[in-house]
Amino acid sequence: MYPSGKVFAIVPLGDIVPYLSTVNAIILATLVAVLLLPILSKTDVYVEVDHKRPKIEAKIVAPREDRIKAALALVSTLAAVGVVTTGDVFNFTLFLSLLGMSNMGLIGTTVEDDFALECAFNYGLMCLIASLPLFGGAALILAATGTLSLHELMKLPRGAGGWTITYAKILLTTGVLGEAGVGPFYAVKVDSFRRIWGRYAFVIHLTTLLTFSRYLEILSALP
Amino acid sequence: MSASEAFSRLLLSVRKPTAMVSAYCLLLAGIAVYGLTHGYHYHRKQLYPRPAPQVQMKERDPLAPYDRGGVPLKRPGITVSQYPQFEPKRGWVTSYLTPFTRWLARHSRHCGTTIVSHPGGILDEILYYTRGLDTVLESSIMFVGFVIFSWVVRMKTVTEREMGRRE
Repeated sequence: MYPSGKVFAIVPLGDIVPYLSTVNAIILATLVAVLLLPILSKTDVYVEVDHKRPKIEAKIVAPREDRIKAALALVSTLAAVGVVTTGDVFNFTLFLSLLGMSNMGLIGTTVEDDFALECAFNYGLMCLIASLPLFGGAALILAATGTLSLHELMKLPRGAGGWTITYAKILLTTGVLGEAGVGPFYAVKVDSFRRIWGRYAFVIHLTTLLTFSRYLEILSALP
Repeated sequence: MSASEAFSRLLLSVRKPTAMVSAYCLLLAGIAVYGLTHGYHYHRKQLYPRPAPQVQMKERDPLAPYDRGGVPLKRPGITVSQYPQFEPKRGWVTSYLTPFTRWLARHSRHCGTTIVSHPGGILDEILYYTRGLDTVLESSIMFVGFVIFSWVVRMKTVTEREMGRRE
């Protein structure tokens, strides 16, 4: 019945019932393993060189954006964990909004770089626009079937809901594209892998990829 | 012009950060116009019911769309949950209002449900007790947004001040 294999565990939280199935568990394990990489790795040493003085004087500095980048990468990964394990369509869209917002922050919180700020502004604009089809799709699913729980939606026969649920799927796909799909585009625009915060740019790409693989499972669960 | 050249020109046309937003808006507008040409059938028996707004307007209820009945922690309000076995005390806090909201609803006919006065108003109508995780999430989205904005503003001002001090 479940398209993602056997269900190991559920978390009963009122109407929102997150669950862990075979596919979910594999995605989650990948996510947690990759999150451990920046935590366990040693921080790079950044050197600031002053050329104005007669002799070159170098001092070791910590980048000012390091802390906020770490915090936002953590929020982004937690949102991705929520996206992967959630069992509710509306909750999925909310976690996706949180993920898009924190990815936008990862791009935007760069010191003294106007182009990164401009890219983050456009990504934020994109998140703002994409929340319309995203939440609209979730609302249409509720309107067409009367429920938002994935456990109940899987039990419905194929073709239940008719055109309304097809249009809801189109809207939801557009929303996922705009909310998370363009994150790597803007991350590459600001050349993030060669910056000093390159290890956090990794989080943007990874969470986006895993969001898409989870979204495919949700799409196959809808009637 | 070969096909690969046309494709690379198409890719080159979105190289500016603003171009992607425009392309996305065009896509969205196309989908919206296409959606207008079809009819929609809704499921009559909905989860999360509530009385029709016209019925409540006749009773001159200042809390018309948000009134769920019940007394907090004494009598449960109108709540139908998907999984009743996971929520033994559902509907007990849905009618909670802050004292200011209660005062405003009692003294004015139209301001009882405005966003400023109603703590649930800024969140969603279906987000009552059974969907508490959604409520937490919506607040945390706003929180992350404020954190990013305040960091950017603070860094802008702090660097300018430091640059002025150095000279």
